[in-house]
Formats: sequence, C-alpha cells, structure tokens
Amino acid sequence: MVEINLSAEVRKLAEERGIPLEQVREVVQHGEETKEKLLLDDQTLAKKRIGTTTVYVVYRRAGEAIDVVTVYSHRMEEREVSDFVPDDVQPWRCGRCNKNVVRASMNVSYLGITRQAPAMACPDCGVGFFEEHIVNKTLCTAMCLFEKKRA
Amino acid sequence: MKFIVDPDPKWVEHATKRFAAPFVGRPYDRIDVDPILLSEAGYLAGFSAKEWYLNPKKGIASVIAAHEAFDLIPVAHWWPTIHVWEQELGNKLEWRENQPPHIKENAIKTPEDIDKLEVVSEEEIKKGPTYTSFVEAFDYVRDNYPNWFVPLYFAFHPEANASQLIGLEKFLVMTIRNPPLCHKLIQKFMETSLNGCRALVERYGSAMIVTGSTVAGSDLLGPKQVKEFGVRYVSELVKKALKIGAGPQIWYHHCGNHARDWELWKDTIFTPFTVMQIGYEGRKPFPLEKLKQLYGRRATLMGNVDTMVAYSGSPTQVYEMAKEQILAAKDSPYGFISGLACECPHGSPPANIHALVRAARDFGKYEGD
Repeated sequence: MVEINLSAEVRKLAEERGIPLEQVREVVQHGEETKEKLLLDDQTLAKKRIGTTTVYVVYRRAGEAIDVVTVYSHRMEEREVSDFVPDDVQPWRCGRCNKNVVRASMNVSYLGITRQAPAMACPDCGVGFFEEHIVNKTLCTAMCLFEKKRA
Repeated sequence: MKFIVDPDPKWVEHATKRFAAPFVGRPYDRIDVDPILLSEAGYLAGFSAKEWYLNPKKGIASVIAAHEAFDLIPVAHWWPTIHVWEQELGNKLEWRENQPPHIKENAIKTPEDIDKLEVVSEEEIKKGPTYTSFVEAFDYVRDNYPNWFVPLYFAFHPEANASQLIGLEKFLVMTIRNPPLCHKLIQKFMETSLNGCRALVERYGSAMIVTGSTVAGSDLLGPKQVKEFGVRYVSELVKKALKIGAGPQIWYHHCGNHARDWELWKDTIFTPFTVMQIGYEGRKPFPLEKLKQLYGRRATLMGNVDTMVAYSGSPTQVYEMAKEQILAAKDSPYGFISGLACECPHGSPPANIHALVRAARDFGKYEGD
C-alpha cells in the first residue's frame, strides 16, 4: 500500500472538507491506475467519484510515498464536457494524452438541475477537471443557491 | 424615516419564487420581467437622474419601490455610473439633470501616457467614489431590505471602460495602429476593476458579476478585433473574478449591435447562474430565436425590447415587441427573463413599463402552473 503523507495543514483542510484519508488514497490509486489525471511540473491532479461526491487530490511523488498538496470535493454530478476553447491553453497536461488541457465547460447536475460550469479539459480525450477555486467558491455557492431557490 | 414604504412581504415571497424559476428549472407563475430600471426608477419616484446617481440610498430604494409597483424581479440593482472604476484612474465625470453621467475630461491625453498609468490598489479603491457609493447602496439594502440584497461586482465592459480613459476615437485608432498599447490600457483598467472586485467580495462575501461589451461590437470593430479586444478580456475578467470569489451569478450584457460577433461570446465563461443578453442585430433587437439556439443551453436568456420604443413608442408597440420575444424564448431550456435591450431611458412613460409586464402576464404564463 502506498504511503500517503498529509501535512498538519492539509490534514486539517481534509477534515474541514469532510474528506477521509481512505478517499484520498482511493483517488490517488485511481489516477495512477487509469491515468485519468493532469500533470504540472512535479504535481498531479486526480479525481474520482466516490458515492455522491467527486473528490479531487493534488499530490506529488516523494520517492515511494505520496505528499498531498490539497484536497477538495463537490456533490454535483459531473457530466459531458463541451465548448473547448483551443486558444485558452492551461498549464496542466493530460496524464493520458500528454497534451496541454484547455479551458472548456462541463455540465454539472444537482437536484435534477443541469447547468454549465467552467472547467479545464483535454482536447484529445475530453477528460475534464475543475480547479480548486471553482469547486470551493463557484460550485459551492451554486449548490447553496440551488438548495435555497428550490426550497 | 425611510424614503419608501416597505414592500409587501407576501409580494416579495411570490416574486422571489418566480425569479428563481428559470435558474432551477421549476416553472412558477409567469416569465419574469426586468426593464433595467435605473434613474427611470428615480423619475417614477419624482426625482432627477442626477439625484438618482448621486444618492445611492435614495436611488436604490426607488428601484425597490418601482419593482414592487410594476411586479418585476425582486432584485435591487444600482450603480453610480457605467464609468465605474474610471474616476479612480483619473477620468472626470459630469452629472446632468436628466441623463446618466458622462465624461468631462479623459484621464489620458496621449497614447504615451498609458505607460505612466498605474493600476489602482485595493486600498486606494476603497477610498474611491465607485466603491464607496456601491457600499452605501448595498449596505443600505442589506440592513433594510435583506430579501433584496444582491451585491454586484459591476465590472461593466473592460474594453469600453478602457476606451473612455483616452477617448473612443483615439482608442479605435490604437486598435489598428498600436494594438499592444491598446492591450496595455485594457489590462490596466481590468486589474483596477478587479481590485474593486476584491474589495467588494471582502466586504460582502460574494458579488454578482455584471459585464459584457459595448465597443467590442459590430458597429465599431470587426469580428477578429472583437475576439482580440473583447472576448479575451471578458473571459479573463470573469475567470479572475471567480477566483477572487465573485459569482457564480453572471449577467452578460452585450450592448448595441452584435450582428457579426454574437457567436464569439460563447467562448466566454458560463457558470450555473449565468444570464445572457445581446442587444441588437443591426438596428433591430437581436432575434431571440437565434439567441436561444446558441445560448439556450448555456445560460438563462434575457429579452431586449428596443429602448427607443420604450422611451418614445406607444404602450401597444412595447406590448407587441415583448409578446414576440416571449413567444420566441419562453421555452428556452434554461429559462427566459423579459426585458429591455439596455437601461430604461430616464423619462420613459410608465404605461410602457406596464405594457412590458402585461405582455409577460398575457403570454408568459407557464403551462400547468
């Protein structure tokens, strides 16, 4: 089993965001096995849908172990990716295709409502990811608004 | 004593539910209406445009009163001028009795001065007229009418505001003769505006992003230039504003004629709470059927009844134009809000606003509701 290291700061963040260590391990394993991940310098961004939550982990290799940089998650259902903007190249590369990802949109569903959200995606294989601020600010507020407006 | 009578809580509850409908895909009552009442709300309450713009509390209160009186969306919007964040960079404005404020003196006299222009820091922004007047208006609503409270990051239009710093003609010449300098000017305006965003988000936790285009449209620039000076900066501004913590509500207001560039704006950023509005195709209101095809699954659409018809046309003309738009866009996948193509001109007849709402009542009822 791969050793997963979380600094005190990241551990606190994971606790606050309700992401257990076991899920962090699952996401890292998923990224490494499927190559469904993004790469930037020595950092890797992987994600996995676990139950009703999609968990994201940014990590870097430290020998045989993994150092976790940050973790975040959301409860919207990620769906199809569209509206690739080839001119807006992002620094991350696709773990499968080794191509730089570009800005795109990903459909997300919550409480039966489907809308677009800004994402970054591989122009070749189409895999899409959300950045941390989009999840923690844009999607988080959107979920609250959906809940409030649906009430 | 408050300037207006407190809105009826039952009406607010009903209007709030109706306003939420397009965003949550749950039809309720009828298509909502937002004629973008700004100083017109002051006119309806018996005071001048100048007074409306220079008195944030009274101005925003008049919007609340007008929205209740005409059964419109329950959102109190107010901004001190469309020349937001420009005074901080050196523009001088002049207030006129019954028109919006205009530029008296440009901050930049020659293109060479652009290099000397400095981005205004967040600390300085907090002392400036744009931020302080927004805070006066929004604090007033938050403290007195919390159900109406939606703070705005009124970025307005990066390329248009930047052009106002040097003057439109010089700016247009620069887009051809010296594009890098043009980019530098837009960038400096945009970074100043984003510092305004930081200050507002710090105070209110979030803010609805209001942006779009005016100069980057089909009357003044070609599609390639619209992409270069408009789409690029609106995308960058929204991307950065979201990172700061503004949004997820975005209102894209593409002012004026966008006959040749309307498709380009699909490359900007769409969040789950985006409203898309394009003013005109040539001299006519942009066809809602076309807008629905491209943007109906990207955003909630907003109508665009001709502002000249609202100002000088008859109630019947307003009614017929609104009817046509409602019938074209009522079934748009992410919903539709009826409205005017731009700010309701100061002095527009109240009967014309009533006609706009009447069309929504007559043709905008949701099936089975």
